[in-house]
Parts: sequence; structure tokens; C-alpha cells
Amino acid sequence: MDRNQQHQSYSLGMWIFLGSELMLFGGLFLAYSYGRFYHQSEFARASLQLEWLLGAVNTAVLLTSSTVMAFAVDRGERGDRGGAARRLWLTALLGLVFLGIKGYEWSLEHSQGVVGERLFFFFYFTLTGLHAFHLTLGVLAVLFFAWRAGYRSADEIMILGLYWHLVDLLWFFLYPLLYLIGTRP
Amino acid sequence: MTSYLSGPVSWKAWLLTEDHKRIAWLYLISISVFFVIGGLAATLMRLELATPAGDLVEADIYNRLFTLHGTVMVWLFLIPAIPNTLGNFLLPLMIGARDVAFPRLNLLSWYVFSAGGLLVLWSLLAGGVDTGWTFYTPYSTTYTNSHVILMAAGIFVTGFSSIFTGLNFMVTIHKMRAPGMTWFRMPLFCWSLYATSLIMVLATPVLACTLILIAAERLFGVGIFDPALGGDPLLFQHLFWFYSHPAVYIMILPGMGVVSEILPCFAGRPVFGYAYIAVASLAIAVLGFIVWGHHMFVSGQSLYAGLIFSFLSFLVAVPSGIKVFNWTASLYKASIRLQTPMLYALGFIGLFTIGGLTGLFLATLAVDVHLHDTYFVVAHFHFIMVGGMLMAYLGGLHFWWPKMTGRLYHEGLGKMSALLIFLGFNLTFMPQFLLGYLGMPRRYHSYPPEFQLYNLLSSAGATFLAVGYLLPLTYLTWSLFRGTRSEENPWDAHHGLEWAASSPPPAHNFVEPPRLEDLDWGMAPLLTSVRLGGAL
Ligand code: HEM
Ligand SMILES: [Cu+2]
Repeated sequence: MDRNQQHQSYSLGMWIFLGSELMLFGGLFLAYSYGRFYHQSEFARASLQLEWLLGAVNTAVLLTSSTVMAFAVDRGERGDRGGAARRLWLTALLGLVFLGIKGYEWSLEHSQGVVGERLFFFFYFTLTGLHAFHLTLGVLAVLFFAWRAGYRSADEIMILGLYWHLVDLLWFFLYPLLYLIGTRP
Repeated sequence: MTSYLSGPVSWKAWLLTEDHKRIAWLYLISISVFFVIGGLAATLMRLELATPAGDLVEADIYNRLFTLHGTVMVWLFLIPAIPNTLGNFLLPLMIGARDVAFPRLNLLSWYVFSAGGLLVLWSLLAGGVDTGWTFYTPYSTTYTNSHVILMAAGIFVTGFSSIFTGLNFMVTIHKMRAPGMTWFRMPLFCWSLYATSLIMVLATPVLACTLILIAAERLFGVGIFDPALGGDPLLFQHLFWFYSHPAVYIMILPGMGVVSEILPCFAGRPVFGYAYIAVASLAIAVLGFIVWGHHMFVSGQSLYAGLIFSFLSFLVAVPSGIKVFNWTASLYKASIRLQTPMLYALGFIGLFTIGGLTGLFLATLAVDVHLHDTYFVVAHFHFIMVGGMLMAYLGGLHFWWPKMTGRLYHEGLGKMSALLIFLGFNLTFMPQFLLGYLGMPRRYHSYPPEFQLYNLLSSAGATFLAVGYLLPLTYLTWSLFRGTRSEENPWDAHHGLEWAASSPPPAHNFVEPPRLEDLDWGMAPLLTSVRLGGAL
């Protein structure tokens, strides 16, 4: 297998993997929709207990991280290894900030206790937990790439970027579905 | 030229191998073990059903037996059966590659599969599960006290091996074909593997998510599926069948691929309608995703949903029909050699046709109200899964055995077992159509005496079937050590790059990477014009 063929393989493999991921989350979203359909007002009320502002900040953080990641990919393509590495460090940092805020939210919910509608909170914890798990893997990979940027090709950074953007994209669905479905006074 | 078998032979070399051909053997051994376990459960069930009274095992044990049988046979045998053994071995050879795209992922797939299999066995030793392989809620989440979570965890884990293999095969087919091996020159087996992989990659994650939800409802009592907790059992059935209907095509498409390779070889002519068969595989994979509701005609889904699912189910039979007609046409005026693999392939065509047609009966709304959850359904899917897929698996195993091992098996014994299996199969499952039609429900350990004759016939057939399976197990194993050495192309196959490699192939498959651009491919996009070996 020559290098070019190898990169094409990795890239295609990543796309297929992302398709698989979408189906996994898709099933969970379907189950969420059922729950919300049957318990509309309970879901809305439960959603009000979430810290929407922290969620909004986190959305902004992730969006920024994706932008930075896009710049890292661009640097990689121009052959600027150092520039790519610096942007990867920043991406990982933003990912960590997201995880920190998310962890803080969870600890708030844990200490204050959330009430009512177990189903909603089951979806909340499962979906955000699964998302955070994916993001953690992403952060680890980005850190590794940033550390070894000199040995990574532009294509590999691009493939990592694909994954990062998907994890990002999932959050853009999770945020409104979980945080924004209640009417605030 | 040392073969892939005569390289390093230590345990370590085998257990850490990244050679697709050795990984195929790892899978072959694992699934054979699971097949025997699943078969033992079936034997006990058929023994119990020989008499109307529930005398051998109690109802509760019987429930655990059929759950074990279904789970093991579906997830630990049939789904990996052809893709992970024959597919792993042949795909790179057939497209002229040195290996699959991700050899290490391939090995990981086997480890993950084994880990999942062990979890399922653990659940078995812990006392088993009594829900049936379908895990219907709310029984599985609220009422049963059996080891649902353990078994679900096992299936969840094996799911990843499916995803890994599917991903690997898709990338391999897209990116690793030798120069000149265009899509429409690929063997039909590769097309069927591609279609199978598509399903593995897109359907399996939905099963994973369903199993997570089952575990959550069992552990935390959140109301997802159980109406008493505010959930909806239909959601479970939608999710489960969204995976499991496509999964039944994982369990038949590779078999169709094998038959599409065996037939032309022993009919001595290219397969009729190559492109139609190739595209039909994809059509089945795609259409298979939108028919799941035919399992739910009587579960309370809306009438309109039922009508649409019924219509779509008829549609999915069309590409299967196209294949059957093409295979049959391939036999027209051919000089047919009735060797063992061909016997299996012919058996496949007949039995698959019956299985598929009875699927149409079941897809008819009014008829299904009568037949749902009777032995008719059991007979329907055994005709496809055992009569179709298992026959194809055995046919393929015999066909490529000389290639995989470098040895020939005893042809006489081979033919005899194939016939025995064919007859035993029909005796076992034909009566079940009648039983179902007469109204005998599935999944009971006792039944009214008037059903005894057909049940007895079925149990008798199962005995022949068991002997039929033990025979190949014995003579194939024997041939591993004592069989006559095979040459490169023992069947005089006229196409298929795999026959160009030595038997058994060297570790890197081809001495030189095959270049196929300049070959005259002729009318048939297969290697008819190439006496391989010489041409490469
Ligand atoms: C020709 C296309 C097919 C059609 C139209 C079809 C139709 C159906 C229908 C309507 C049912 C539900 C019957 C009921 O529960 O009342 C059913 C059950 C089943 N079919 Fe098929 N089928 C087809 C092909 C296959 C194939 C290729 C396989 C397997 C390789 C398969 C395996 C099964 C299984 C396992 C069940 C029973 C599931 C259970 O309840 O345990 N079918 N089929
Ligand atoms: Cu189905």
C-alpha cells in the first residue's frame, strides 16, 4: 500500500465510522423524541433546571474549537507544521474547557439534585455523557497530534478534523434539544 | 514459496497475526464452537418436542434453550459465518490485494468478537436468559429475572466486531483493488460482501443503542419501553427490527455471493446477468432498511404503516427474485458437474426460493394475522438461514477448502453429507410449515397431541441433519492432516484471482502484485480468458 492509498483509506474509513456514529446517536434521538412526545410538559419543565447559560458558553467554546481546528488543517495543508501544532494545542485546550464546564454542570446537578422526570434526565446524562466520552477521545487524539505534529501528515490532521467536527456537530443538536425546550419566564 | 500456514506456527504467531488468511481461521474455529453450542440447544429442543407432553425439560428451561439457540446462532454464528471466515480469506485474494485495508483492526475485530462471545457464554453459565433472541419489552426489562444485561452486553460487544469488519471490507473494496480490477470486474462474492458491510456499518449501531436502553430500563427503571413506567413497547420493536431486519440480509447476502461463485465454476460458463446480480445485492441492502415494520403487523402499529411496510416487503423480494432467475438461467445448456460444492449451491437455490416465497406470504397483512408467531414463521426463516445461508457456507467451505488448506477432502463423503443435509433439512422444516398453518404457536415446550405426527417427523429430520453436520466436521478435519495435496486450481475454475495463487497461498498472497489492465476481459467481466498463473 503506498502512502497516498493509505491516506485515502484512512479518510474513507473515518467517513464510514462517522456514518456509524450518526446511526448510534440517531437511535438515541429517536428514543428521546418518543419520550418528549409522550411527556411534553414534563420534559419542558425538567429542561428548565439545566444551566442554559453554561450550555450556551460551551456551545460557543466548541464552535470556536472547530474553527481553530479548520485553521490547523489549513496550516497542515500548507506544510506549516509548527502553525498546525499551535492550532492543535489551542483546539485541545478549548475541548478541555468544554469538558471542564460540562463537569462543573454535572457536579452542580449532582449536589443540588435534579427533580422530576427521570426519563428526561436519563437522556440528558446519557447523551451528554456519550458526547463527553467522544470529546475526551478527541482531545486525547488532538493532544497526541499536536505533540507529534512533525510526524503527522496534512491528510492525517484532516482526518482527525473530520472526527472533531462531528463531535462538535452532535453538540449543536444536543444543546437545543436538552437545554432550550422549556419556556423561560 | 512458503505458504501462510507454514510461516511461524507458535500460539503467539497465530494469536497476534495480522494476516487476513489466518484471522479467517481464528474466526472459523470460534464460530464452529458456537455452532456446536447452538446446535446442542436445538437438539434438546427437538427432543422435548418429540412428544406432546412437556416431559424432558420444564417450560422455563425450554425458554432458556430457545433464547440461547437463537442468540448464539444469529450473532455468534450466522452473522460472522461467511463474511469473517470465507470473506476474510478471499476478499483480498479476489481483488488482488495483499491484505485488507486495516489488518490490525481485522485482528481486533476477532478479539472483540471473542470477548462478546465469552460474555454470552457467561450469561449462559450464570443461568441463561428466557426472553427469546428478540428481547421483547417490557418482559425483558421489567419482568424476567434472567441474565438479560449480561447477554445484552455480550451482543453489544460483538456488534463492534461487525462494525469493524464492515468498515474494513468497504474500505478494502474501495481502495485496494488491483489496477484493472474495476467494480464490474469484481467477483460477485465481493459485491455481496460490500452490500453486507454496508448493513453492518449502518444497522449495528442501532442495535447497540437499543441494548443500552434495555439495560438502562432494567437497571434504573426509567420508562422508555415499559408502558407501566410511561414508555412505549412499540419503540423497542421499531428499534430492534430496524436493526434485525437488515441483519437478516447480513445472514443471506454473503451466501448469495458464494453461490454466485460456485455455480459458474461447476456449470462451466459465466454467470448469467452478472451486473444484475451485482446491483441486486446493493438493492437488497438498501431496501432491507425500510421493511422492518413487517414484523409488527399485529403489534398495534397503524394500519397505514402496515400497508406500506407490506408493499415495501414485496418490493424487497424483487432483487432476490432477479438473482434466483439469473442463477437458474446460468444452468441452461451448461455442462454441469455435480461435485460437493455444486450440490450445496443447487440446494441453496431451491431452499432459498421456498424461504423467500413464504416471506411473501408473511408480508401479506391478512395472512400474517393467522401465521404470525406460529411455526410457519420458524420454518420461513430456517429455510433461509439454514437452508440458504448454512448450505452456502458449507458449499463455500468445500469449494475453497483446497485453497485454504492445500488439501483435498473425500469427495464421496462430501457428496453424501450434502445429500443427507438436504434431505434432513427438508424433513425437519417442511412439517413446520404445516404445523404453523394448522395453528401451532412457536416457543412452547408442550403442545396438543394432534400436532405430534409433524413434530415427530421434524425431530427425526433433525437427527439426520445432525449427522449431516458431524460428517463434514470429521472428514474436513481429517483432510487437514491426511488429505491429498491440492494443486492451484483443483476445480478448473475459469475465473477468480484466488485460483491464481498457490494452494495454500503465500503469506503475501501474490508473488507479484497482479496487473490486470491489459487483460482481455471479453464479454463477461470475469477472468474467462485468463488461465491464471500463466497470465500474471
Ligand atoms: C424475501 C424477502 C423476505 C420477506 C418478504 C420476509 C418477510 C418476513 C415477515 C413478514 C416476517 C414476520 C412474520 C411474523 O412474525 O409474523 C418474517 C420473519 C422472519 N424472517 Fe423473513 N422475509 C424475507 C427474507 C428473510 C431473510 C433473507 C431472512 C434471513 C436470512 C429472514 C429471516 C427472518 C426471521 C429470522 C424472522 C423471524 C423473526 C422472529 O420473530 O424471531 N427473512 N419475514
Ligand atoms: Cu424482516
